[in-house]
Amino acid sequence: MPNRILIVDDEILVLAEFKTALELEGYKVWTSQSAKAALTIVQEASFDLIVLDFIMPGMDGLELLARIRKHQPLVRSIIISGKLDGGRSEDDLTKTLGEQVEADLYLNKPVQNERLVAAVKALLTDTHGGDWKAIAGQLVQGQRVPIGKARAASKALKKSLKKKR
Amino acid sequence: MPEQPEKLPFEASAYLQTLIGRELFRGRELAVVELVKNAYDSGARNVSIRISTPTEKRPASFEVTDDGSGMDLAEIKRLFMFAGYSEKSSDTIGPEGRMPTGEKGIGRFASDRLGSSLQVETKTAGQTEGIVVPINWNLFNTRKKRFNQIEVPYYRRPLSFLQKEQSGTRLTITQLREPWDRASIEELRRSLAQLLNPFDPPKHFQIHFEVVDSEALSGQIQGTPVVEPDFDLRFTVKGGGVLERTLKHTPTSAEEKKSTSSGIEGAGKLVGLRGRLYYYVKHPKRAQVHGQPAGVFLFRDGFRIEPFGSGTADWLGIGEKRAKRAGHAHIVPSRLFGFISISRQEHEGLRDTTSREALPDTAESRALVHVLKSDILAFLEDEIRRGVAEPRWEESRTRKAAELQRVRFQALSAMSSAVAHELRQPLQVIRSAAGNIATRVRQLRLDDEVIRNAQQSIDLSIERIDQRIQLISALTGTKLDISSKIDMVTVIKEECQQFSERIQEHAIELQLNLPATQPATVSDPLVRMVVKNIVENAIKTLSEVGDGRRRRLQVSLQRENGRHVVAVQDNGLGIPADLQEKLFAKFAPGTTGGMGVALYVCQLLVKSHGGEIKFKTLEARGTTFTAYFAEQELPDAE
Repeated sequence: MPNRILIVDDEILVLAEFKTALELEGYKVWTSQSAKAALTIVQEASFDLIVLDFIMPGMDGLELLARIRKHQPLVRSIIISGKLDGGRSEDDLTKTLGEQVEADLYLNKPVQNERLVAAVKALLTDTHGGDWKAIAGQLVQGQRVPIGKARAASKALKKSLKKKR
Repeated sequence: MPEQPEKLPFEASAYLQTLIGRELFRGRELAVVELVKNAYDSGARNVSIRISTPTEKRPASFEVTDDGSGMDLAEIKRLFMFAGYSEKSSDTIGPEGRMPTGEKGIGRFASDRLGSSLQVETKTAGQTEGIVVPINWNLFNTRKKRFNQIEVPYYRRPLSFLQKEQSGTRLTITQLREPWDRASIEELRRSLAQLLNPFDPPKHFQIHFEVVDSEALSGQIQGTPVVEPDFDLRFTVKGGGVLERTLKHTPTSAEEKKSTSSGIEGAGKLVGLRGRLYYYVKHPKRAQVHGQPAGVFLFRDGFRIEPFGSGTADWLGIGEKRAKRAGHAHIVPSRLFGFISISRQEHEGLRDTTSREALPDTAESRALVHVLKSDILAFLEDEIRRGVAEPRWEESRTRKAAELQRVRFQALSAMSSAVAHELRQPLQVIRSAAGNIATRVRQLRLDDEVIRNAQQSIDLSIERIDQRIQLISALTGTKLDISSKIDMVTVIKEECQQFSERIQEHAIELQLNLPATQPATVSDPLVRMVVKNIVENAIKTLSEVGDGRRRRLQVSLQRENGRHVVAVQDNGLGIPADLQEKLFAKFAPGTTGGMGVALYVCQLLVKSHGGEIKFKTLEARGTTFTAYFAEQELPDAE
């Protein structure tokens, strides 16, 4: 059974191309153009991985991730943004977002298909080495990321966009 | 023969005393001033004023005691008892060559303003007895008697306050018309302090003040001249009406600037007039003016003429001008101090009115105001305009321009940030779409070189556009101008770390020659931008090396003459000779991809921070870029 992926981005063309890229690799892909619609989708279907845009109208990617985690605590996640570079590397931001909202990976737009696909593959095959304790731990922890913390994290990141060190 | 006419004599009613004594002066202080001036004219070196509040044993009294020449009976009859008579001529008196201040012969009657009862006790030197004259001013308060019909007794007696060889006079006023409370005593002290020219006081003359049972209000009266003005203008009217001015404008110049002007209308009438104006660019501190009120005071022979210089008398029209033409009036009245000195001997036309509250409107007094306004003040105002106002306008213009620049930059920054974000969306679409085409082509087992090349071109172009966007983001989104304390080593390591994948991909040997730590006060984002750029250029040129040599990249950090020196050396292809000259030029064309604008911008920014970027290159052997960062000052804590 193919892995199920949800992509959330307010840019419809980006959505379409990401969907194609992942479908061509054999994944089953859902898309949503807004955080609100995404929250409805995750109540009806479960996913292995979610690709989220950081900056979206209404609710941003970090808060959306925290909310999705309430329903699907084990879901893997990739945050993508065209705005968060400002001198900080992808590794650096991956670390920050991992600590703040338990996101698995951060990628800068424009990302190459190969890189996106490789990242998706890596995350989906990483099952914590079959360590069920770790998985259970993440399950508990994932549910615990409070919405307020996610909001604070995105606020801090947006602020750092304006100030940038 | 013409007929010899009969004559009609003028006579004065006793009430005249009330007019010249009690009703002439606006305030009690002016009456006291008159008594002090009389003491001065009698050659006194010391005059003491003593105010006693009433007790059960004695009534309230006001005493003025001086150590002047005193009077014998003949002098009392000739001087004191003769209203309007004054021997005070233009001849100087006493060992100090004093110019008498009284000339109207009515000063003594001023005591009536203070109280209805006066006791005069006076003695000349060498006499054992003095003369005591008690006067009840109320006796004059009738229109039915003639002035000379009022008689007062006198007694000869030793005076306890004077030794045989001493001379002097004591006036004791009782039956006071108004009580002296704290506020009125303070007002009197202020008036007396302003009576003598603090800038140029009369010699050997002191006023002592005693309020019985109040040490706080007692003590010597003295005015302290103002100090440390920004503008100090001295002036004198010389013979022929030539005005000599000496200006000192601190701190711009400690030099005195001398100038003269002649032909000013009326100046010829003011020969001998001198004065000094002190102007403060900012409101003066208390320690600079010692509580002196602002204003240009008029002093005659060292004694003040009211009301010139007082807060309410805008006799030089400074306040009026400011009210009418604020932008052209550079003198702020509250920051101008100074005095004009005139002399009774030299400026006969500049007498004051009997009430001592103004100058009568004469040709001389008009000339005085004209010369001061049209020349002295105009000159000072011009100096203030050139020395203070104009530089301030310039500063304000510069500040506004900088502010505009800042706002413009802010707007540009916000726009660039939005544009960068907007551009990245279509870039993402193009990149993903190209990727999808490639995937699909592969899945369809089509191996076509044209498609492959097209895809590669698209990817490279996207990469270049993205680099430009990153540069714009870095330029507009960071506070390049604000320095902070950083460790250069950490910053360099972090920036190199960002290229670890590419370094690995191109099999580059990276060597970091860094000290353990190197603290610096510099612009962190600027250092990062520059290091990132030159390391990136080096990686790019190394990636183009195809002759099988080992690709080496060396990044080192040193301190040199207080500057932080970052050197990035590669053993790549070097920079072609035709490109070297244009390397730091705007839009330098070249084959080096991202170099053009980025290096130009980096060089501009580093130079604006007192540093520079240099390079050495050998074709086919490699290039070394060296960036020098100067230490900056920490911004002031807000």
